Amino acid sequence: MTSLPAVALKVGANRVLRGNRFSHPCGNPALAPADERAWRLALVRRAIEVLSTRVEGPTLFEPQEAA
Amino acid sequence: MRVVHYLNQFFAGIGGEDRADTPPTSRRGPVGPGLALRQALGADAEVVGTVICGDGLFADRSDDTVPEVVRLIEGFEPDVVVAGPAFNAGRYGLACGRVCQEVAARLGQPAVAAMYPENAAVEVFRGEVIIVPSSATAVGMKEAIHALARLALKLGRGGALGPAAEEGYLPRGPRMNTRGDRSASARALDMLLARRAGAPFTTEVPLPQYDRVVPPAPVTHLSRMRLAVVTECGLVPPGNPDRLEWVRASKWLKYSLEGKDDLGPGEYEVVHSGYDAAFALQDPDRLVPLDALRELVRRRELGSLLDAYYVTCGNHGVLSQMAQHAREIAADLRRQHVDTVLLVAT
Repeated sequence: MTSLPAVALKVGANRVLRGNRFSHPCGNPALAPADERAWRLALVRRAIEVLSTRVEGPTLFEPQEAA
Repeated sequence: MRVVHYLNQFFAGIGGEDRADTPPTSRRGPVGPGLALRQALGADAEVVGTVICGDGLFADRSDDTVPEVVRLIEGFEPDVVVAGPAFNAGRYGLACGRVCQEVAARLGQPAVAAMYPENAAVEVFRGEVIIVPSSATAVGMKEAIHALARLALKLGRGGALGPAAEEGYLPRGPRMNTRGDRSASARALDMLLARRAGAPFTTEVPLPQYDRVVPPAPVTHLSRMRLAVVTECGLVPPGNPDRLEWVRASKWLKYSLEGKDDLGPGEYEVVHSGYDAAFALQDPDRLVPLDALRELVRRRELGSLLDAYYVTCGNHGVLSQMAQHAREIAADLRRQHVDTVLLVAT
């Protein structure tokens, strides 16, 4: 989970999920607290999805694509 | 010759992490390390202007920021652009690389950057950007500035660059043909004999630094997935009881999450300094998303969560150290039957 996926892909991380800003990859302080929690739940749910996805090599996943 | 210098907010003397959102701005003449650059360039060139931007803003809002930075650089009508030295600062290195790349693409002008060879930005930009190797910290400022000046003068004059080893920049990948005095088979045998004898030899083809890791098979039964959080964000209990270092960390630590449903303000501190910790201190779930993971377990969308997280500090992390940490953490994870990891990077 990183806000700098270019780096992660270059060094060979195979499953890379684009997080929010580097000072809060799993946070979205622009949202109201309840909305931020819902946003984070969706992001982490996406991470679980990525872990259950087959990849052939370093692959970038975006948070928005819903299953 | 007109030289334009790109700096971040720190080297421009504006501020540290707290001013990482400094918008693109320009100043006539040299600023900070630019003064040494002017000196090193000598009579043949002049630092006509300095363009400055906060590392945080550059990284977060590059779509808006990059065109503005290029516009400011263009305003000085450079013959060559110098960026950095960024040393081992990751975001600054990325900004320098991007600036050089854009200057070449949009302005058609040569550019050169300087940074530590292990800076994460090197792997991203080395194919396209001329990067001069520097020390990891500003201790090597003088040497880096001199190397930048030498290359800037050469590039600004329109001269072709020789091989990396001769000119003093990091190899970019393309190979130039030269004529040797002996055949490849003779050289190979010499290397083999030297290796057998334990004598030193120089490889002609350095192997790439990063291993290719075959992607582990996905875990498809979510109800059986056992996840652990590993992170380099430096999140530790108040007082940093195990003395995690805020730079070049020599250790990794494991802290219990037992009995916690989320991470609250005041329960943790951040030992890092490579990013603004204010957001994380307000709500540490923004780094280690415990609240969301607990919720997914409750909803049976995740089998189980390890009741501890692993942390180190990735600020100027030494690659060989980080690899060692990873091996040790992986062994610990296997002992606890963890099959998946959420690795959170700042």
